[in-house]
Amino acid sequence: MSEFWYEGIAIGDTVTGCLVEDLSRLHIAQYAGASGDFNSVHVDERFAVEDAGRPSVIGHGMFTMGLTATFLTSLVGRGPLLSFGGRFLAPVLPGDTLSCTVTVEDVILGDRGRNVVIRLETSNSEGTAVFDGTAIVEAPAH
Amino acid sequence: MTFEFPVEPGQVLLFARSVGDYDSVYDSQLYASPGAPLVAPPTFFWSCEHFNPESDTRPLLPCKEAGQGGRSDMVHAEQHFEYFQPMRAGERVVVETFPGANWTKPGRSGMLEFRETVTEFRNHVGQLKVRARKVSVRILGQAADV
Repeated sequence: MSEFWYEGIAIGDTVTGCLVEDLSRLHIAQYAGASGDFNSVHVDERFAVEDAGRPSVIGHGMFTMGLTATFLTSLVGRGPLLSFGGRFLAPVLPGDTLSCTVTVEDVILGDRGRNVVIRLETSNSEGTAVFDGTAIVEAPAH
Repeated sequence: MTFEFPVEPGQVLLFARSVGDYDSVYDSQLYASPGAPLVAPPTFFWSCEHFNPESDTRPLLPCKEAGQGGRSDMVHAEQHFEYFQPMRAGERVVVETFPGANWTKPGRSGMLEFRETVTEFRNHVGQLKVRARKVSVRILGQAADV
């Protein structure tokens, strides 16, 4: 899949996919355990609502980024990732369905060949952007 | 601040599951020989928090205080990773965190203060594997809610 994706790549190409449907509190808690980030706003419903003024617990920004990264690697494979980063734009809540649109923004010459500049925009089901990122991936040599 | 992050394939597998990454490679590398390159999700390095002796997001139980988990007025606004070398099984990665740039700019809710933190992950001979840059933001003169 990844080789095919690189083979016909063109600036402006986009792919959209679902990251998670109907996000559960359990999934947020699973990420808290795996990451070591147990901030109360992510795992303590009463604290999140009564003290932090949130509608419920919220997902970690790094959780959203991690889900987005999973979609990225499903497309480009496990080849060299040179960089990945972005901005957290809005909180993610239980019940959210997240999708990501990946766009090829540029193909540039790197130290070892072609590098593909990829934009990743993750949104909830209402169309609100929750993460806006960029990755640079080294394309396989022909 | 500096601490060691022991790279262990089981932790990579658990982290991968938590971000919905069920690639079988994480199972197949569970018994990788020491020194073998490991596949890891791109944000896996952030789980070094488990080994941070000064972690403010990982509670020491029993923890009965509400609201634990770091500064309540700072919001994690941006995160960036640069990758230089793969991790290797059994490696003891040295994690060093230091302050980066600080700046302010006006926002819709008032003046915003941005603080950058840089974290470098190096192998035992000091070669850089990953550099992470975190940007946090708060509204000056007003407590935020995260």
